[in-house]
Amino acid sequence: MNQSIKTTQFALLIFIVTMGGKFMTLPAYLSAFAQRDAWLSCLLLFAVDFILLSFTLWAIKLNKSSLSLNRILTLTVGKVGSKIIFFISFVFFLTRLLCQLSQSLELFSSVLTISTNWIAYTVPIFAFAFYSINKGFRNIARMTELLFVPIALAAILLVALSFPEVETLNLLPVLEYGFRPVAYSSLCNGFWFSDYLFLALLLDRIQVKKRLFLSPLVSFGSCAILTTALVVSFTGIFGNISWMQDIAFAKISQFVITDTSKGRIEWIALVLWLFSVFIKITVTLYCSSSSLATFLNVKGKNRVNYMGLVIAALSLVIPIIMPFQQAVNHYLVVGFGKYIIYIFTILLPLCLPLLSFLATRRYRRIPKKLLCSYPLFGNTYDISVSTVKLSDTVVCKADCTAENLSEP
Amino acid sequence: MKDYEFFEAIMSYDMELKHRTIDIKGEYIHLFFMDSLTDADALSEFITDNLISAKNMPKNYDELMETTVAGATCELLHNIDEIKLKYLTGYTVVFLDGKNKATKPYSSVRYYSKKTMPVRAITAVVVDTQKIQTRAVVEPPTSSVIKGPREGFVESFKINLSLIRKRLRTDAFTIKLLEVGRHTKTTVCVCYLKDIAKQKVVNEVVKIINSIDMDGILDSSYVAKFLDNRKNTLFKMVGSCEKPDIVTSKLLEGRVAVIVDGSPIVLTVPYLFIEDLQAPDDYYDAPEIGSFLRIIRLISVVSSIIIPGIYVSLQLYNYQIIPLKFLITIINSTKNISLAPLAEMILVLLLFDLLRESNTRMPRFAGLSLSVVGAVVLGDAAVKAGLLGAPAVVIGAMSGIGLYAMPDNTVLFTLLRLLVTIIGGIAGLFGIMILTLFILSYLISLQSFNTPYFAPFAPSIPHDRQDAVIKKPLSQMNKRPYCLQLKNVTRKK
Repeated sequence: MNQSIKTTQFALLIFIVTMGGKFMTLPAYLSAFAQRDAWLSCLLLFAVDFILLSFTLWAIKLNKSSLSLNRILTLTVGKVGSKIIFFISFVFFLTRLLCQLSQSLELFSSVLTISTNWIAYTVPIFAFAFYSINKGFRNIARMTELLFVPIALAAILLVALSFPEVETLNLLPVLEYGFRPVAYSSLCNGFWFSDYLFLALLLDRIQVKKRLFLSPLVSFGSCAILTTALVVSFTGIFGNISWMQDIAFAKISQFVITDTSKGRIEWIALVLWLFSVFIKITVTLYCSSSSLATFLNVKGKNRVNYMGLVIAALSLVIPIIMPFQQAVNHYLVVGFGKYIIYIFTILLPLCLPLLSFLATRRYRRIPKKLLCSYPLFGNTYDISVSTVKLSDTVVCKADCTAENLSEP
Repeated sequence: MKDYEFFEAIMSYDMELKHRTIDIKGEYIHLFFMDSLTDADALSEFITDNLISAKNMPKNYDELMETTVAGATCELLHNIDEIKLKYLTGYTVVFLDGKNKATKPYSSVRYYSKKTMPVRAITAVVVDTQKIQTRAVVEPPTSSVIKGPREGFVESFKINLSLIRKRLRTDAFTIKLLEVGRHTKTTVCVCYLKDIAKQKVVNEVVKIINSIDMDGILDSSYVAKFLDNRKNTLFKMVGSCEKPDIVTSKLLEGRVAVIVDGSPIVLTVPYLFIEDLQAPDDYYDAPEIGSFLRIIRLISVVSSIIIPGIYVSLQLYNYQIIPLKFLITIINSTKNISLAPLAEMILVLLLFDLLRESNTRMPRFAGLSLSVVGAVVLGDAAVKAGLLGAPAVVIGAMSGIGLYAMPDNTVLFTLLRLLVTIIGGIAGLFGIMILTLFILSYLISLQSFNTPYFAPFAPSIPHDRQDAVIKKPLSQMNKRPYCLQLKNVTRKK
């Protein structure tokens, strides 16, 4: 089945995935380091992401042979380098998945007053995520087309409702303590950004058409504006105690509606916005499963599903046996771990255009007669081709006739 | 044994077989027909009157067809299976038994029947004298319109085909006649416009219908089950229409229609979700009115499915969302109700479904009065007795009425509504959200003959939205839907 996704679809996916994670704990985390200048830190991180997203899109444009990330890395940095990057990718996405799950559970508990436990909450979400992944990534992309308008309207409404409560004095003066806290906040909170990185794992599935840059960048830009506006209103409402308000919406909504005769209309917007969280969780599960499958060299049609089960099991167990959120804050936000993650989130997107260009050039030099995939028993068999001079061993999809067929 | 004797012998089991012999100057013509299926007027007009008044015996079958029975639809057949089938459908079988060699059968040729048993070759002329019992072409009860044509399909495939044919006076209108059902031998007609429809879809439809190996096809819904390319899907993947103007418009959009003899419902494929939103009136009214009605339909169906669940969920978990005045009213109405909100709502919904079902089945003269008794007396009594709360009854009734905005899917939506209510009662808004995502994901994954079921929303095809919820004026619909991947998309130049 053709599982390619269109430019518009991944542009909307960028919006929803970015939106899905930013409205929960990020404003509080940014305020912890940058205080009233948290919005500047947010803007700076979005600017960095904007550049890195442009690089990723450039890589997509250069990837004319529709090579997968694994193929690009194998052809350029070798198998070992590829494995290392996929392992970091797996850790990154798994951690993000756990963070999204725990933060959304917290949001549900505090806003929608649903008292539930970790397993009862995560199992239905995983059930949906598995179902969607099983239907194919294109199905997820199509769902974003359907849900984009309600999610965008909900996000705008949520931000707009909070603005009347903003105290301007809480935001001024700007850069009172200089740029250093803003820079440090940005350095520490980079882990919560780079949401567009799912694109790197879908390099071989994106249909390159006109306006490759315009739609995704506009989509990302509008998301950046909305998120920054939320951080502004959050800091404007809470001032110096912003960092103590863990779930932004839960706290903001206490100030939003003063007239109870109207009901809590922001909850309706919140419920619609939460769809983006579930879609983001699905995309993150897909990315972590796919990364693990590539790292462990798992083949087969259902490789992502099998690895997804492993990740689901890990996700159910890890937060029960260890204080997960504190560990993330300690190692990945403040600690040294963030620099390892930056290899994947910053270095990879920066190098991806070059890698993509080199890989495509090398791939094109492989004799054409060998370049065809041969599905057999549901698998596409990879065969080492020794005739290629550019590297010692080039893994490519090759014609599997009865003579040269061998199990990988 | 002569041909007619042979035919009479193999059909001897049929008690309805009538044999008439007409003598023309010492030579005989034998007629065989089935009493119940033969039109006596047609028989005398096309065959017996002509034969009685004939001066000479026809020299051969060709002469018989060219002169004596020339006014009727007739066919010369040599295969016993074909002759039997024609006889069983009301044709009259005519045998010549003359002195001339040409009128005698050429028995040296051996034919094989469908069971591969060698049978004797016989020659006969079959004349169409079918007595077609059908009702008048009237407005169908489920697709009544305020403006627009009021013709509806009937149970005769020939009449149905003629109703479409008279609207499509083009040589591009193509039909393929197929025969399905081992015992019923039902005629199934696949129609399409060859310069518009996608040939791949036509071939697939023909292939699926040809592959049906079943004892009988009694209605188009039997064929629809086979045309559904997914097994066990709740949502229908095949469209059904009772009006020729709608089928014609679908054919003009590039769809393929399937007419089944004996059914007043014509099937169309590929089928999209938005077709459920469309009603015939939309096209005969101003586009603004059509768009407004479609929005109303969409809102009423969506709200009918989710509102009972949301009400239960809000009552149980998130009552803060409800505005204070409403909340006070609800609390006052429900404070004496002994049932839990979930049980109360399920009871209301089941009661409504019970009334609907019994109203459909019960005799018409009793239906109205009993439904009034059921709805008003029972509902009112249940509220006064403290068994049900008034808000639950109001929500149940609103939801029940709203489901009829898409009458083809009422039962399916009823099931979904019940599911949403149960999930809302167990897991609150969180459960409803997850269930909604499941349903959307499922709907988006569906395909009807390689056309995404949820197009033009997912995948988003902006052009095709011209006839989705917000309808464009007919004068601006220049192209046919892109999602159908047609040969010719230009509708208006």
